[in-house]
Amino acid sequence: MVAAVRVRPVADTGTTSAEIAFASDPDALERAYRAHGTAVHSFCVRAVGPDRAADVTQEVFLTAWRRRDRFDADRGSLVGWLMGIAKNKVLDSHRAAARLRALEEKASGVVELRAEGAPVDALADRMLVEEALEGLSDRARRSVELAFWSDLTHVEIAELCDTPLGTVKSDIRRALTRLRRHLAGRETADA
Amino acid sequence: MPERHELDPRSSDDELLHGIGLLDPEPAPVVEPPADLWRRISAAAASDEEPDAPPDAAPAADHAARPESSTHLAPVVDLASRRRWPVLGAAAAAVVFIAAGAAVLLGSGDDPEPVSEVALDALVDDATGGSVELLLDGDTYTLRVDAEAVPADGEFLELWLIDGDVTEPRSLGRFTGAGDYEVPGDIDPEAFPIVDVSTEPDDGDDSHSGASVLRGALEL
Repeated sequence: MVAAVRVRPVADTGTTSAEIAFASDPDALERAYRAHGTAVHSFCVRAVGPDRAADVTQEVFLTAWRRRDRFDADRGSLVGWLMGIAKNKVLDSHRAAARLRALEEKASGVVELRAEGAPVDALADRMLVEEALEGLSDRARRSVELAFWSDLTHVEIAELCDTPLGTVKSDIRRALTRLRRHLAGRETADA
Repeated sequence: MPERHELDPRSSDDELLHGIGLLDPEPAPVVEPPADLWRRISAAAASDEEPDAPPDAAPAADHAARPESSTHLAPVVDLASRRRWPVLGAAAAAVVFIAAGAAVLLGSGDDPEPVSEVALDALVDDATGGSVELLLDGDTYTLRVDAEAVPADGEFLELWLIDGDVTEPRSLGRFTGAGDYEVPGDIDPEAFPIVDVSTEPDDGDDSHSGASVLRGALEL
């Protein structure tokens, strides 16, 4: 069994073949699904649970397909855009469930408001951070993860990883650049 | 309206790093979608696209011709731009077959026939991007690579062709720098158009490490 290898940008911050295809290719939906279906589904499993994850994933890709004219690879990444659509679908689903709960609770005299947005936003962001880390070498990934989740300085990371300071800085900069592109793609899904 | 905690792509590096630091360091577990989900999506999208088509005609053909395994779907993706949605499956397989046959005929001369030349992009600092050319000599494909990379410490470089779904890397052996690399006869570049060089730990595991250093996609 060969482990899946995720689609990565063909250049550091460039568009992927799946993105180019999505704008022009009539079969781009399949390419997008093969490239990013697992990421979207993994997000949905966490956000709405395993029972509903497949249905929400299907809604995400169908919505993306119906709105494909709005996707612009120059404005952000495809995976970011898909994750933005997924986040909105999940929030819609939560809001509908919350409305139902509120009605039930009102009927029973108990009213409790729940704000579900923040965890879903954070989860979507975490998925996009993971996408930004994809394709980094193990060495680069370790440096970047230390930068993200430790209070170590770049100099300390360079010493800890026995890596030149310039390499540590460029690895972090590359990951942040990729992440910005994913986040920008996510924002275009809200437009 | 719930308070939003999204990362902002316009933030400074420091602000972005701070925001990332508030996220869970552990990534969400990877959960593959159910095997039939793509069929459901493609059938629904097809009915979107062709409202006048006979009911269920296109999706039915799709289902009949498409096995579950993504391995078998790869050639369909590869020639996607030559087809119109939702004509899928058997027709596409036939096109692959015919195209491959035509390529063999075209390449039967004495000199290697250039089939495709594309950029090979460096994905890490330790690599120098360049180009890769696919040549056909008789019925033998060769990759002519003009790019360089340095393996990570204690690792070696390996050359791969990967399917359009990027799920099934096929090894062409060790990558020793710019030069010609013969494509084994059981690997069809039409179905495996992505040229990839990875750095591999010397651990006896012959699967792709996931750490790619050079990448390009042949245009076939």
